[in-house]
Amino acid sequence: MRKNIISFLLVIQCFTLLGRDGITPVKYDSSAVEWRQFDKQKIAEHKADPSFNYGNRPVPGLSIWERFIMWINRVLGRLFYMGTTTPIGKIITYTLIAAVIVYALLKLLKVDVRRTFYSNADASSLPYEVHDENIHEMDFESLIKEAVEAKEFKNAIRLIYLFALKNLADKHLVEWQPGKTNHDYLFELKREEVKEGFGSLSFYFEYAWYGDFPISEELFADVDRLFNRWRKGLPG
Amino acid sequence: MENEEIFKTRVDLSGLKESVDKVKSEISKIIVGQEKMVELLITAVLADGHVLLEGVPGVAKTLTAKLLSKVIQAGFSRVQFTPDLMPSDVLGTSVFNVKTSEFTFKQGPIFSNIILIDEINRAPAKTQSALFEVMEERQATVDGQTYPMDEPYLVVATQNPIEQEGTYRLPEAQLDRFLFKISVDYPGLEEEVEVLKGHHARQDVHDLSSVEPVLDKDMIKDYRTKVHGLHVDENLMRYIAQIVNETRNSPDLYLGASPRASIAILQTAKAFAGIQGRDFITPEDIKFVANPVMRHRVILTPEKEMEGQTADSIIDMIVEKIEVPR
Repeated sequence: MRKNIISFLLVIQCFTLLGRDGITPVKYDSSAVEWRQFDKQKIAEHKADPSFNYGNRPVPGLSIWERFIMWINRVLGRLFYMGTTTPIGKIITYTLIAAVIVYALLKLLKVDVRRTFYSNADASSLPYEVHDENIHEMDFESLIKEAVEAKEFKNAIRLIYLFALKNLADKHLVEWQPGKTNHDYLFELKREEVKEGFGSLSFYFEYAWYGDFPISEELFADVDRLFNRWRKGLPG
Repeated sequence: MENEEIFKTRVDLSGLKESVDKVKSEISKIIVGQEKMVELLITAVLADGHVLLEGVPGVAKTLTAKLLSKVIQAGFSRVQFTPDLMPSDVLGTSVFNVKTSEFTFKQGPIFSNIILIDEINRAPAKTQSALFEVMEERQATVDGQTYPMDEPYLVVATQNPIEQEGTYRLPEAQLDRFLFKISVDYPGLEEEVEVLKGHHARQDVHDLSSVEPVLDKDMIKDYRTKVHGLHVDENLMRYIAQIVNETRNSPDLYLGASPRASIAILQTAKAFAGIQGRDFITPEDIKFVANPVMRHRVILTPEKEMEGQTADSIIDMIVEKIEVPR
């Protein structure tokens, strides 16, 4: 109840204050009004001034580059129009797009196309980088003679074996390749008498060279005789 | 003159050659053909290394492993790898003994001489990892206790090619622990006819009692010592190193072979030469073992895989490229 009374008194007080402002006297303005008009001459001058003419914008001239780009655009547009509207144009366009996509994919995946389609394409073109000796450049007869004189029979047997291999390669009975083993060469030989003699020479070479077996002068003489006999029997 | 008379072998390999011939003959009672696989298996036994047999289902991988265990008179156990197999199922686990109120270690199937792990790539990497220590160090450590394995210790694992349903690729670290990965191919036409004849003639196709043991623990130990002592020319050691080194430089390979592969080639070439009755190795021996030693240790670049190349074809190219020492 007390709250209601206080609220009522406050509302009354507000109205009282508003009433006091409302009675302030109003001042009247009695000064003379000056009537101003536009200067017709100035308006005509402004109208004549081209700086105020916003109707036609000035067009700057095209550079050579811009003209070139526009020409390219026109040509491409014409080609694209032809490519998408005529049947032949469509075929050419889609073929070109497919070729570009395939090329990009192959390049991205680093796929060697030649190898993909021809599995043996590079089988015979292996890069042989390891070459210590070339049997085609060695003077075997003098090297064997030197080895025998120095009583290096193990090395002499090795040289005899390499000489035999050179004979076979020269007569195209085997294809000389550094990665081939003695047995690979043996398998390549077709004629039985050549194969048998070369097999024996391989045997002596392997035991002497890889097996490190001691080679006597007598044993070397046997091998030398075997080699000479075998060499004479080679086809011409 | 007979060859044996000219060069007398410095290591007596007559017993080894005889035993190997007997092993081949025993295995051939059941397995038709696959001579190269059998030779490689015997080589691995002599070189003290584990073997991974890979082939499509039905080419006698498991049967071969079982036969090998039959011809070697030693302990044998088999683990069938499955996707839910746990490391403790392989190694063993500590079990509480109520009577003594103590934990006692119950050995898993890995504790034996010849372990056949069938379908090894059916178990996930977690279980595969349990084999790392035992395969490399011949010991297993469980609950802080190390248990050494008995000699000879040989893991023969079989796996289907990775493309088969429900298989996992083995971790590289584990693959490297296998001395050989032997690819088991389909038999030829005539061989398959022989398989059918043999199958038709046998009453019980699962009966392997006709296979007699040939090698025992002591014989294997003796042969291994002999094989280890074979002569190796220094140029051939360089040849092995060149081949393995080339796999690391080859642009066709993403991962080359490790030095463990070089050692494996040397060991196995010696064992293979011993089987031939030779007391020294030749480049032929090295070439024979190069593929089975390295094919699982190298990883092809994605583009070579897309071209349809295989690890074998790349290794062949590398080996052909290196000059044979003469």
